[in-house]
Amino acid sequence: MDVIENLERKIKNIEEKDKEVNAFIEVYFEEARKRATEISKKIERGEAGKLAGLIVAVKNNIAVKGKKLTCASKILENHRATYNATVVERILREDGIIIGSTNMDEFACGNTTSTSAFFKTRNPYDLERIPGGSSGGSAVAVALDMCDCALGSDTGGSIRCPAAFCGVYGFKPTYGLVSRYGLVDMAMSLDQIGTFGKDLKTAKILFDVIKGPDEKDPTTVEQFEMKKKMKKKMKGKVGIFKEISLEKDVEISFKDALRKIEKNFEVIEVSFPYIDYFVPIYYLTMAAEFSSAMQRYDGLRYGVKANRNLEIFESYFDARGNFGEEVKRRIILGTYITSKEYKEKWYTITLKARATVKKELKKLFEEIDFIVTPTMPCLPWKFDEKLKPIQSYVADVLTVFANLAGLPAISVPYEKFIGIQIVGDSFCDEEVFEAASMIK
Amino acid sequence: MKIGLEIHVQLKTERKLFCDCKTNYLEVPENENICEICTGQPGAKPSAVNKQALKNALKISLALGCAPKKEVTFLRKHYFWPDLPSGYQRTSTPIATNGKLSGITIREVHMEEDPGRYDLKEGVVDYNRSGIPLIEIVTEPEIKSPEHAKEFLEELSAILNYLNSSREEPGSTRIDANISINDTRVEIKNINSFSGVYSALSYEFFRQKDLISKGKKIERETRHYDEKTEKTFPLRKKEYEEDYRYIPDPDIPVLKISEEMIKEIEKEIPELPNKRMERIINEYKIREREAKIIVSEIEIADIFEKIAKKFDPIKVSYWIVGPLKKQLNYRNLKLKNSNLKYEDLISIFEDFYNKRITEDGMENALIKILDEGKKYEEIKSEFFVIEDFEKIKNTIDEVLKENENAVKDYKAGNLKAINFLIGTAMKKLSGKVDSNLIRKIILEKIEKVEK
Amino acid sequence: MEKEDIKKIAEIAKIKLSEDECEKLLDEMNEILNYFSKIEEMKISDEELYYVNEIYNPLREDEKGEKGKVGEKEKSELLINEFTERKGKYLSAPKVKI
Repeated sequence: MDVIENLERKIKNIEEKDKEVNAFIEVYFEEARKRATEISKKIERGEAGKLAGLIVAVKNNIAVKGKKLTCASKILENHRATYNATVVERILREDGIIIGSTNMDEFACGNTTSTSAFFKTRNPYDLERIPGGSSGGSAVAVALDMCDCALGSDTGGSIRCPAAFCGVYGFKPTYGLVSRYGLVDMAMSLDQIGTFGKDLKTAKILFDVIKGPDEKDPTTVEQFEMKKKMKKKMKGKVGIFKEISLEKDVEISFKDALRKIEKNFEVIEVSFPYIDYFVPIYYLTMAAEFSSAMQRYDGLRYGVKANRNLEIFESYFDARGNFGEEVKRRIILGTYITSKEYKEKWYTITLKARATVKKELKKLFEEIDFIVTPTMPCLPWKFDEKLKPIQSYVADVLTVFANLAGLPAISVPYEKFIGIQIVGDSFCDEEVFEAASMIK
Repeated sequence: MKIGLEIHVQLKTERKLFCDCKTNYLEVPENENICEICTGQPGAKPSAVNKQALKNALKISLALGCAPKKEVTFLRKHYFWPDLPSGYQRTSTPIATNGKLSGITIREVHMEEDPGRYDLKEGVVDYNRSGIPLIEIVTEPEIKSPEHAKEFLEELSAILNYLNSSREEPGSTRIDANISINDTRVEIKNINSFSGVYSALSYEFFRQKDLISKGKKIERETRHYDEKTEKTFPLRKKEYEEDYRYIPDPDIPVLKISEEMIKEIEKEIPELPNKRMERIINEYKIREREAKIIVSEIEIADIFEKIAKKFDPIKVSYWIVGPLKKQLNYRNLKLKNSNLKYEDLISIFEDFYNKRITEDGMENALIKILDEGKKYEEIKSEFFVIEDFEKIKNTIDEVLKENENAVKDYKAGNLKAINFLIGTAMKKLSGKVDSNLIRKIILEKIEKVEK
Repeated sequence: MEKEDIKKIAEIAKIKLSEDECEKLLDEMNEILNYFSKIEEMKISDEELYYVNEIYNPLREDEKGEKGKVGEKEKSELLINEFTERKGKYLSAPKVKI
């Protein structure tokens, strides 16, 4: 389809449907139209980049120069990014068209997109249900054809969860393959930027464009070199966890998916005694790093305006009072477990536990090629089902372990509200895409 | 008495520790050398560690006799203050430990980033300084007196001067000191110069002794040193001690310090002040008193050796420690920051040694070069001794005629009166005649008259 | 956790909490920490995981001259414009009486 035609269709979908679902925080129609015209000409000349006019939505915790970078928080409500995230630079270089910024849980704190300080995003298949989170806006935008693909961020499942609940593909790369420069931190050792697509091909092409080492992010690595060191041998085997409890509908879907997988792989039931600890280890790690990441928000250099007439520390309290409930909760938790008295008891133990889980998972991957699970153990719940914090945390049990060990993972849309997750060994991102193509 | 020091010095680099902003923060208007990284913008991440900063820090550590570590991790030190853009300071684990200087054990050396500059009175912040690399040198509390601390810092100053790896402008150093006289530790923070340390510690010593003599208890507290009054004042007490919640910074991979890097850096370390002083004393046979001053700046030690190879080392040493150092100190200058070039100094000393210029003339030449930036070649003729014997004799005749009373005094037995006559003649001759020659001629003339 | 703990932590993190918020947070924290305390049962190694990939810091060359300094003025202007309050080119911050 013609680039300009495609863009106009996306714009029409946004104008018609977004008032219902609230996927977008800001739209960039004018610039997008200009770019579409330019890129159209480039395509004619045969000079277009790899994305060649693909329409991309960007989660609003990824910096787009000159555009609002709110992280769905009052604290950054009026902040404009002064630079482009590396992934954005790469998209623009390959002639992708960025159409707007998408809604999210405030500072990525949640799996419902309803902790956004602005509005909640709704599940396109049932407006009374959550779309998942924290990258809910991006998932919904792709699901409703408001864009061809989208960027999200995934710290404990924030791409895969909404992908599953909204019926699209959601991919989280191996830690270190995609630059985090320009991604507002949630938990530095867990965060990765990833991609959404309504089909595998689109999700993958966006990943191919954004991936690769970045000198601005020294935690990025060169995939090929790291993979060579691993000397990985594929064995044609897939592992599934014995000890997971699933909602009835999810279990049925999962069993169905396994039958398809068995056609190409040997499916092995694995006993992994650490599953019960996934959620605690994840949340404690994340909270500790999150409380550190939130230290910079003081209303002085950007965002909400601190009151300079107050005594110095009072002004800090004043500005930081603009954090939402869930953000405050996690800051308190993180500050607590890294405080002098409790550090040994909580934080140090968590670091050791994480090391153990990673080691054990790597051991597992010596025998198998992939771990397959349902992406979420349950269906997306309704907005008015007020869950206690701990209840929503435990829903992440199947997604967090990929972040703990830095493994690549994808959610494949299987049935309404249900996704199947494929987790691969480190740096085996291409293999994960390949396996995903075998499920449907 | 036990004193320990934590000395922070800015390292000499072109760019900041974690970003490519330039480090010439004293030369640019406020908030010009800034970027998203050093102002802690949302989403910005630190770049890879500045290699020169690490090398400079290691060079200083090795020169202090420390053993380098193989791996270094950067930690986040969390606290809130407007000049700290990320809400935490990036500070490293030790890069080297266990050195010695002036008999004091160096516990460890590590790196950290400088915060911005917060003017509390004006209520403004400038981030040009934010992210500049610092080295922190931590001593064991083995220093025994303010004088001992002064000596220690003088030695440290000389070493830093030799290594040229750190900045020397005002404001590039900051020292925290802790002093305990009777097992109660008092911390003095943010002393802004090496010389301030001696004043601060001296004041503290007397303050604490005074309290003890009055039977009062010394409080374990943190105090602030005020440069203007040279006193220490208590800082606001907090209900609890600051908890920095250190965690390793996940954005900064571990630094590896290879043996190759250490070997490379060791080669760059010049002969250090103490060793050089010993060698100079042995080789040139000058006194320790002069040798110590000569080695305090590497450029002075260099020029000394250059000149002393050609001329009498003892005379050279007096000349350097005397007239040269005097004029530099008066202007608060280091030789390397002055207008004096090596060629100039060699020529000046040569002319002085060969009596082509007098001592006065030599100092005047130094002054003119220092203050006006001229080259010695251009101006030296102004200072050459007058060789016109007739002119000298005639001037002295004048002086004797104009000052008959002084002549009478001398003849009457007041031998000191001759100095007045010599001085007056020197003035008339613009200091361009050797004073011994003037004395000789005056005496001849007076005796002649007598005859 | 005790109420005092919450208050102290909130103070450290510069988060203002009302009495009600304190109470609610206390209950939530305790429920969360209770659930998370099962981590103590886990058999763990001595190793602590700080970095996901085993790589070393690449180190950055200290560039002399003007490399990379194009658009420097523009950049600092953009940043100064984001300051929530400014005094000329300075960031405005609370004054502190000494």
